[in-house]
Amino acid sequence: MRAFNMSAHVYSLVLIIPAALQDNANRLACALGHDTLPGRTFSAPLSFDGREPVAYYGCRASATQGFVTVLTNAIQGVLPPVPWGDYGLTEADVVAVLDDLIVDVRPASDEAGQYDTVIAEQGLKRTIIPRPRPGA
Amino acid sequence: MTMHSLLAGAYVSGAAWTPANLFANGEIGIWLDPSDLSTMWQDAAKTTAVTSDGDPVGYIADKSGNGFYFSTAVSTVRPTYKTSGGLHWLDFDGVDDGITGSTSGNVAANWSDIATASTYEAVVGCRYDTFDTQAIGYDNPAWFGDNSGYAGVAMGYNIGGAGAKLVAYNWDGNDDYVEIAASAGTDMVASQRLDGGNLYLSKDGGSYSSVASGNTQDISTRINIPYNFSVLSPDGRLYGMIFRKTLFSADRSSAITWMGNKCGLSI
Repeated sequence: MRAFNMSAHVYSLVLIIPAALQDNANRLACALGHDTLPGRTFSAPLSFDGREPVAYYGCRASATQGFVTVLTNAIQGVLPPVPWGDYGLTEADVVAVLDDLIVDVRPASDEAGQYDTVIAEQGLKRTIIPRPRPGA
Repeated sequence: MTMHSLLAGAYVSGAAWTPANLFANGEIGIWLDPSDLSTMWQDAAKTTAVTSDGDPVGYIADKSGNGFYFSTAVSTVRPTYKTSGGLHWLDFDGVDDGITGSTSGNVAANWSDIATASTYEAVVGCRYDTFDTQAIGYDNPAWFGDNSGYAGVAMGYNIGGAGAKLVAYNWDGNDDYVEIAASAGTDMVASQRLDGGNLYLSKDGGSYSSVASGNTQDISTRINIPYNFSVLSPDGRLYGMIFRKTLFSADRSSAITWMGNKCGLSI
C-alpha cells in the first residue's frame, strides 16, 4: 500500500467569513499556526454589489490533507487542542466562526476560477476599496 | 584550424550571460529566479524547502547578492511554485496571494535612493491568466511596487478597463503610465525603465513606448510582489524579475533574451 502524502498541497481551499467575524477568524488562523497575530488571512473584501460596505472577507489557499482533516473535524465539533486564550479566543468564539464559515474544497488542479465561482454562489462580488493618493 | 574549432573556441571562451552579470560589481537591485529551487522555501522561517510542483512559496531569496528576500507568514497568501514543460514560475491566485519584501538588504537600505537617482530598470517575465477591469490605474494588480501601495514603480496594470494592457507606472506627483496591448494567457517579457525624465516600456523585446515622467515619489521602505495584497493580487505567473537601481543599457537585450528563455519565448 502506498502511503498518502499528508504534506502535499493537494487541495484548493476557499474560505469566506462574515465581516463581523473577521477578527476572530483571523485569530483562529493564527491559533492553527497559519498566520501571525493580529492576522490577515481573511483579507479579500466582498460585498453584494462590489461596493462598500464590506459584508464578507474571503481567502484562497492551497491545503494539505492534514489541514482539511483538522478543519473538517473542527466544523463537526472536534476542536484541536489549542490554547485559544493565547490568541484572544474562547471555544465559543471558535465555534461561532466555524458555524458561519463558508468552505469550498476542491482538488488543487481545479483552482482556476474556484474563488469567483464560490463567491458568485453566495451572491457576492469582489470589492475594491479606493485608497487615498500619495500626499492626499 | 577548422571553422568548427574556431566557433567552438569562441563559445568556450565566453561564459553564458546571466543576470548575475548585472550585479557583478555590487550594483543595487533584485534578481528573483523561481527556476532555482535552492532559493525557495514553503514557509517564512525556511524550515521546509520547496521541492515539488504545487508547493506554496513562503520565502524566495534574491540572487543579486544584495541580501534581499520576499516572504510571508500567512499561509493563505503564499504563491504556488509550478513547473511544466521545463518552465518554472510562481503562480499567484488573483485573490490574495502576495509576498512581502524584506526591510533588510541593500535594496531596502537604498530604496529611497531610487527616487532621488531618478533611474531604475526592470525586466519581468510574466503571464496574466486574467486581467482585471478596474478603471483606477494605481489600484490594479501589479507585479511589484513599493510598500505604500502607491506603486512608485509597478508593472502589469490594466488602465481604464479598455482591453488588456501591460502598463508601466511611475508616480512623480502625478500618474504617469505607458500602455502596450497584451493578452491574457500569454507569456510575456516586460522591460521597464525610468531614464532621463521618461518612463519606457516594451513587451517581448519590441520597440519602446514612453511618456515623460520625473523622479519616482513616495517610495517607501521596500518592494512587494504584488505591491498590495488582498484586492490587488495578480492572477498569473511570475517567471522571474530583475530590478536594478541603475540602468543596464549594454545588457538590456541580453536580459530580455534571458528572461524570454525563462518564459519559453525566443526573443
